[in-house]
Amino acid sequence: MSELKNLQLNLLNYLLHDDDSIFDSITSVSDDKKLQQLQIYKNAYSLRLKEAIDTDHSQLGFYLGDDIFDQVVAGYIEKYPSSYTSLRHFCDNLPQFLIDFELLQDVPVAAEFAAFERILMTAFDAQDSNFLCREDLQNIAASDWAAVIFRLHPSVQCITLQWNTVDIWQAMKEGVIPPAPMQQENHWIIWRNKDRLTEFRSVTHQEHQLIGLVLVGNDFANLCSFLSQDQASDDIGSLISSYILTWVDNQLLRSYAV
Amino acid sequence: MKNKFLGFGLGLRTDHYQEVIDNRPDVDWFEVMSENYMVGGGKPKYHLHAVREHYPLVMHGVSLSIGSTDPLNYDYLKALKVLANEVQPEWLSDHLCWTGVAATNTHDLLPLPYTEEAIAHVVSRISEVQDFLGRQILIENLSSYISYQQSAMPEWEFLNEVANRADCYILMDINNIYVSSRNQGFDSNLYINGIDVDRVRQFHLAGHSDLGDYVIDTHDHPIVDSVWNLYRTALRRFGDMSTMIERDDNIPPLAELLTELDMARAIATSIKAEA
Repeated sequence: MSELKNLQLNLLNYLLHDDDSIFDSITSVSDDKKLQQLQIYKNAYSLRLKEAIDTDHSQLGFYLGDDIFDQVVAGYIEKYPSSYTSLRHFCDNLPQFLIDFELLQDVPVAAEFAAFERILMTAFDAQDSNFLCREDLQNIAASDWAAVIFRLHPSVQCITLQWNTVDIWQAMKEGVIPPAPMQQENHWIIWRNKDRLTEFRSVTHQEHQLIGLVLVGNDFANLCSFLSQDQASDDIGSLISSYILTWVDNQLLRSYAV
Repeated sequence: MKNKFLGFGLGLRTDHYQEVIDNRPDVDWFEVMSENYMVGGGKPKYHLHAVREHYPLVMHGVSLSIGSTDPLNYDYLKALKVLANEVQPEWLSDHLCWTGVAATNTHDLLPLPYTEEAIAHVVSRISEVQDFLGRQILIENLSSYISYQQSAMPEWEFLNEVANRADCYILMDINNIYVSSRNQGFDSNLYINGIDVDRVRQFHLAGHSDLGDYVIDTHDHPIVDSVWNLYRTALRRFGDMSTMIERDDNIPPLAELLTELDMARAIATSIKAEA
């Protein structure tokens, strides 16, 4: 192994595991001073990663409180040292970490909290794109409608939660007392609108499934077919029209193809 | 790459986006953090392009890890190239450091030993990066808190050797020279006078935290007199040089940074008048 690589591994091992192999390579007037110098890097390493978690998951921190959040941060940094080029992705494993974290086994909302906050971030800086408007729909020939495939805006994200996590998150954000955790399956869509603001709203199980079908490229005929199987209705046309117009008005759609 | 004097610039920070776009303050150019804009879109890209319409930009990165013994990260380089094509910056810069090894990123700018082995390693990688990007880059000197037993030359000799052999340029951070000189006990004037004049293309100025025994490069305070004095020394040696003030934490109102930028302008004018 080259001297350079060996030295880099030694410093890394000091930062991550307090391994003192690097000590002999550091110039200093005394061992105490050497430790102080290295400690500057060690502190910076922990602080930088903690700051990344604080910034990306501020509401989670408020919800858990300082003591528990500090343990989460320390545990996460130890278990998931960054392999990412950008700190933007450092917390990608946080939802899974919180599911596994012993101390939070009775707080399942925590992992959902982190997952929701990460999805908000994804929507925030997702690819830019056009938005479909109602006038665009008028350009679709009647004979083409069955084959139309709608494309969602790149920022659109879907999430299914088992707890009233978003209600709690919103209360925390608004600085009011959050509701007690309540188990209930619920579905959400998150997206970024024309003004580059991130929005989210709850959706029914049916709309959630319908958006899922759009996401994987189903055409209009398949969407209608799904609705007709999902519910007994004489007016599937009105129902699908209502969904599509709502998506257009919400700025969820970017284009269509025939 | 000719020495293009851009004037006096600031780091573009989110706190000042709207004011910059609305009021177009008297800043000659902005430096943007490359990594902040390696995203698909949304507000970061919108603000970047809105500022770009009215100001020259340079791109400054923290993730190249040019000194690492891990392979170069081509995903990062591709994203950097795409962004550079989009922004058309005056130039690109990053740090003469390593940020991680063994596929682990510390997200810190860690110093290299000043050895022949490190020079050869870094020169080879800078050449590879410049070939891939199709342009020469600038490398910046670090603030450091340790030095290695293995080092066989002073930092400024190391920096010169790398820049000359790789045929790249130097972003000379005046505050970093001050910080490292206090921490390592070398003469900062010796450093500045030891750097090859024809390799420098930009200066950084910044504030730091003085803890007595150590000085930490925090970029969260105004520039101190000692750093302004070093800036004077550097201007006397290097002449007109694109100068930029970095502020990354404890971000003040833009007006405060504009006042600091005017100070840099006034110093440069007075040094020029001496000649």
